[in-house]
Amino acid sequence: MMRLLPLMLAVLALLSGCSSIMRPPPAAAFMDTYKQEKTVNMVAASAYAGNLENRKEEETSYSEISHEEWWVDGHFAHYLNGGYFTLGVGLQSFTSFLQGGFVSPYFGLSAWSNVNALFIPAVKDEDRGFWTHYSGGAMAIEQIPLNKNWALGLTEHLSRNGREVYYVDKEDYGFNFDKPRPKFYMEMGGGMYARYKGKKASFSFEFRYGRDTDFNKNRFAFTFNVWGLTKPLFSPNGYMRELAEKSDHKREKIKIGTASDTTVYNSATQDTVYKSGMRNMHKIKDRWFQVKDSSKVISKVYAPTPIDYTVYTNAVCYDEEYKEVWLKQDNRSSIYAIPVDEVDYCEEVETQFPWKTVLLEGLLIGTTTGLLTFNLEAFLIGDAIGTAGFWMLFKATDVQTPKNLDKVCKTAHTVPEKEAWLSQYPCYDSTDNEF
Amino acid sequence: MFTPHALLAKQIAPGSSKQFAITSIYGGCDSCNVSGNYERDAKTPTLADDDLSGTALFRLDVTPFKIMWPKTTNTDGADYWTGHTFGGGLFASVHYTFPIELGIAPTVVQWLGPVYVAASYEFAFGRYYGKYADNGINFDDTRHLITGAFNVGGGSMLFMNHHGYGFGMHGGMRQFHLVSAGCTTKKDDDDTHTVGSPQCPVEDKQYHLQDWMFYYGIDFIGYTSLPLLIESGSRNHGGYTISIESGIRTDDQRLMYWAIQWSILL
Repeated sequence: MMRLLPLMLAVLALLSGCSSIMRPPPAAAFMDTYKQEKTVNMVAASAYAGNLENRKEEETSYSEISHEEWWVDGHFAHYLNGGYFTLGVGLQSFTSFLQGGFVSPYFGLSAWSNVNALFIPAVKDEDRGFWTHYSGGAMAIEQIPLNKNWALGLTEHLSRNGREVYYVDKEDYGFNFDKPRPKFYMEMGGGMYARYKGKKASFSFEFRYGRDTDFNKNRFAFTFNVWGLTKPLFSPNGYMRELAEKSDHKREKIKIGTASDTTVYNSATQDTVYKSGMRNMHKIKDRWFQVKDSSKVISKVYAPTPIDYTVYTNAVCYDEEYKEVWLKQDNRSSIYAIPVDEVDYCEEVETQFPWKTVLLEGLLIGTTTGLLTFNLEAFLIGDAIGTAGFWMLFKATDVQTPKNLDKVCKTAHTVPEKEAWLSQYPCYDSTDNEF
Repeated sequence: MFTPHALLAKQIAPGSSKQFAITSIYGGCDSCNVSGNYERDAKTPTLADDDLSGTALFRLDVTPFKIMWPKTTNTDGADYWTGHTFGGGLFASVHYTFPIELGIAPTVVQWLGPVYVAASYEFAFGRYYGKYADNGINFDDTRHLITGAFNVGGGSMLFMNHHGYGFGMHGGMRQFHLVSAGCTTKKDDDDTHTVGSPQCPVEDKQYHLQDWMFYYGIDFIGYTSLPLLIESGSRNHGGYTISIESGIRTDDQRLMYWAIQWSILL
């Protein structure tokens, strides 16, 4: 359920359109985000009482206004925390909102705003002022822990709330249906809540009083709030952790070691090696190796055909005792072993800078600028700049594409052939392990 | 915008050193009185309805040259790496704006704890085209101009290190240019065909206006900083920024721009 919440939020946010009316969101879940590494997902329901502007109608010669203040709200929110500050997106009935502020174990400051007001009025309501459709506010929260699970909270808020009215234009004979309109008012007030913190989920009961200072009315809100923790939908560091976990999981089935980043000259074998424990990883020119099973390698796997797997490395050694070939992972310091009958050596690697792609991308930008302006200079400069930009991007990311990849590893070697070739790169010196 | 430079200077994504940005800028002068520091070719322009030079759907910024301080020694990252408190950098960014404007901007950024200050001077060479009164481009009227624009600003960022997200605000003052290569209401040589309505506000005359404007914006940032490079098979840390910026002229004339920028850091 909690995992579906972000999706539900996104769908509801789309459905919510341009609703801009809001009342203060619940406080307890926001406070519970303090130093949470996971996402806090909150669902709440509020019921309102007091002097609600409900079922009241006003009629003029040209319009009818029907006041229909909602007496119930549903709240959904998704919070991310960064220590002492929290940011969240949410939905209050049909209004999407942003919420953020300071959190700590005992004190919090929350501010919220409808999304509509932040992005739409600059375009839509230019003549009526920037803040015409603004609904939002700020709340101070004090939280007192009673024991491990229970806490009490006090809140004080100042906000610009909105309520619903329906407007019928009598002069508009074509479509004189009830058009929803927001009606805003200033509110100040306070409240309290009791919070229970469980292992998997937490909940709170909250009571809030608000004084409508524009129309001198009193309102009360009763809220039940429940929340739980989930993994963030996506986060850059989370993505990196996932990749690392996958890699770790894969490594469990592979024999892995590490090699030194720097090379030394081995006088015994008269070649250059990366020292790896007692193992000598012989430095070679980048060479392709064909592997039977891509799950047995930790290097980047290239597939010249759907059934081939190739990797390349610049260091290799052969362990005659265990019949294993050790390869170095791309340009990294990890090394891994593959049984000799599951790997074959191939041609040396030929790489090329992807000039064709760079020129094509440049041409694309040049053509776009040229077509948009019908101008030769724009085409030429767009072409030059696009090519230079992509050249820099590819250089910065060190992009090299393998050349003739579909022609490598066409000659299979028998095990004796492989052993003969690999024997020039022994993992251990024949005389002594030290050099 | 200074956001990607500031992020590089902070080295919150350790090892990243280059940035590429694509910006869309919408804005201009909507019937405003061109009364600032103008340089004219003929009579004084009075009303202009024009675009800021360098505003376009597509602007590409690349930062190929940089010097950053202090040196980041652990480019693999760390569990509690929050960037350099006093990180700074000197960058040279080059830009291309559609259709033809090229520029280079030496930029300096210095972090002072939670905030940064930045300054740049952007040299731009542009080939600017004239207009018809209906806003169509008149390729026959062209003007070449080298302009320079100061930009001084600063900002602040908050980082969610566990997730690799950041949020920022920035603001400052920058110089802008309005360059007109002329506006004409006549399209045909024989003057029989009048194009456009209304008439050109500053008929046939080229002008160049330079003035200051305020700007402010918000930034959304994503980055990686955890020491899992080897385990994840990744080569370098990286990041991205999405910034929205709005600029307004300091007086009450209707001159403003909106810009949205996407950038990647490698």
